[in-house]
Amino acid sequence: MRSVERRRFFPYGVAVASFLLATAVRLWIAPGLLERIPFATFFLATIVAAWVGGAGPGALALGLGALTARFGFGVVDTRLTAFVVVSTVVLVLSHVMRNARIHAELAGLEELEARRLAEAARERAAFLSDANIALTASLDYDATLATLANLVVPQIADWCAVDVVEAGDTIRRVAVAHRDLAKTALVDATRVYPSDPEGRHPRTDVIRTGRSRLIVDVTPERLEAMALHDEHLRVMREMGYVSAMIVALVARGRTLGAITCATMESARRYGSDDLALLEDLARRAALALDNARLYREAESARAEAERANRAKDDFLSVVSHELKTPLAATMGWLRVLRSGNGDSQPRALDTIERSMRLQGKLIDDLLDVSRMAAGQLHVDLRPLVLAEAVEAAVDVVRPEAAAKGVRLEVVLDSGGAVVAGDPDRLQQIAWNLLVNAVKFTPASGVVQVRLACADGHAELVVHDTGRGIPAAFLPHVFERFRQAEPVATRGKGGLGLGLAITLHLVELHGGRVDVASDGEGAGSTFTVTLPLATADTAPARDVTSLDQRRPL
Amino acid sequence: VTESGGAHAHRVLLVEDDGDVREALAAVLEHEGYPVLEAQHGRDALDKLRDADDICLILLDLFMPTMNGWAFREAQVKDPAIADIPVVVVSAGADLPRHVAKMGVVAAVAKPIDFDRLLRLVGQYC
Repeated sequence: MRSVERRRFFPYGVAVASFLLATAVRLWIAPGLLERIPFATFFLATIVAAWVGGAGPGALALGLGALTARFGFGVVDTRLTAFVVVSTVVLVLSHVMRNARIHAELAGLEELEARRLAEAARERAAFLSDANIALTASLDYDATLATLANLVVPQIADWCAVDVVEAGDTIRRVAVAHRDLAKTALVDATRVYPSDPEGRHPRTDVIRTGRSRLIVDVTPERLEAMALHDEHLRVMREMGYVSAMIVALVARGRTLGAITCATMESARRYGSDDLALLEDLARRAALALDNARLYREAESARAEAERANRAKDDFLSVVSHELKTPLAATMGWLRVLRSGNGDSQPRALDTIERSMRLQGKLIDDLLDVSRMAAGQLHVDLRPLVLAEAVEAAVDVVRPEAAAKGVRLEVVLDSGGAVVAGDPDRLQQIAWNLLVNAVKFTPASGVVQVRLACADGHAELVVHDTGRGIPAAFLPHVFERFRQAEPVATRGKGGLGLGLAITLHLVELHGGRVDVASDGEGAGSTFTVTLPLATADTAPARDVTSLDQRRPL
Repeated sequence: VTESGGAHAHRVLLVEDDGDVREALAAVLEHEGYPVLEAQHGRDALDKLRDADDICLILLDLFMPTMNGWAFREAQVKDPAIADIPVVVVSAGADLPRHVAKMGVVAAVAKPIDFDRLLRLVGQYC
């Protein structure tokens, strides 16, 4: 207030001072000189007053000068009139010039301000454009998040954290950036997202509502209100936040997370301009993040589709190969037989019969698998002695093992244990495991079959000393169409369906199959566990696939 | 077309991992008068080719352990001593034309085998 008044009266002070100075000069310094031009000093005083203060002070100086000349020095002639007239003209001119000068100064100031604003807008646009380029440079989700944090610091903030909402609505802090590397230990403490079930921290609200928050002054009271625990408060205090903004990352109507910015060292306070800039940046970042996420999803879907397609192609090749190979042998021998070559007849008939049996088995497996896929594989459960089914399977495999030089060790120690089972399917289970064991065991190897009972369960263990199963393949052993060897170089035939069918059949019987192998060359062990029949499971029943939606 | 009982100076190299198929094919060829040298896979075939200079044609299966048909063919064309021996692919795989497209073989016969066609091819080269 005082300064305003001073500014207002200052020009009049100047007017009075210049008048007094003019009088003093006229009286003491150059009285002789100014005898001839008595108004020269007052004229100058009027001009100075008008230049500094405008028309008012100028008129004051003019009036004081005229009065002093008239009454002080007794000037009454035309010189007084001339002084008043010339001074008035000069006064008016100086007033006009002064106004023009002030206008020009104001215009200059305005231009300066406009330039400053334009510069700020340009910087902002450049920043956002750079940000856009940086954010869209990579379709990698994590890289985009790190880019975002590093864009904000130091341009907008001294510290910045990016949090994303993950599956199950948990929030994970994915990126933190800080201007001052010396504070690393403290900054590291902010790298973990503080759990906030009560929603004390404003960020929780921002993520929930999508509405931005601007905290111009981070006061100690505010810190206390938003602290989630003592350690959190300590860290926040030590970080020394001055001003903060929190903006949600929203893309395509979904809140992906939030970005939190704060100033510390720079002691700068955020305003609505800063918030608008951060919101703009957040919109772009969210879109880039969402694109990265969609790209990642599309990529994995594409890879999965390609894998499935390859598996289908491989399977078709395998089916074609497995079905046509025995046909080729059969056709060859038939041609030899037809040409009347009697010597090779026994050999020809043997091979033809074996080939036909093999094909029948392949066709059975294919039918089983398609029934499994349709959820229409039936088992006809009735009480039966498990050892009998296993023995029947062993008998079928015995010639094959003998021909290959593989020793079969069979211990059926189940004491006539009864399970609710389908006799053909139980035999198929045991047979599949045995055939595999013999197939993958070299000459002079051993295949052990053990059947035992414990805790209401029967356990069938088939162990071989064959090549074993690579650890990486173990989880896929029971998948359809999966074989450890690549299709083009596999040494063993088969469709790769036996174990998938076995697993399904065992599950239809209410049991489970486990596989163990110490790796390649170490043999493998398959264990089938089946519940023993009790009085209430004893009646015969028909079970179809357990759950038709289950992927096979 | 066939030359039953006729003697041929050159042998057919039969590369096939399935014992039954190999035996049946050999029986057919030998019945038609073509001596046969048998190999169980590509590596075996390369070994046997080293000691044999009387091979007029190679009948090659594709899906085999140790060394499959493609790998064999690759090794064969790199070895000037055996690169010129004509190859007929005999395979049960699906989509045979696509599988042999880049192999540079003289023909491909799908299993189950059309023996008349196969014997015509053998007669052409042996």
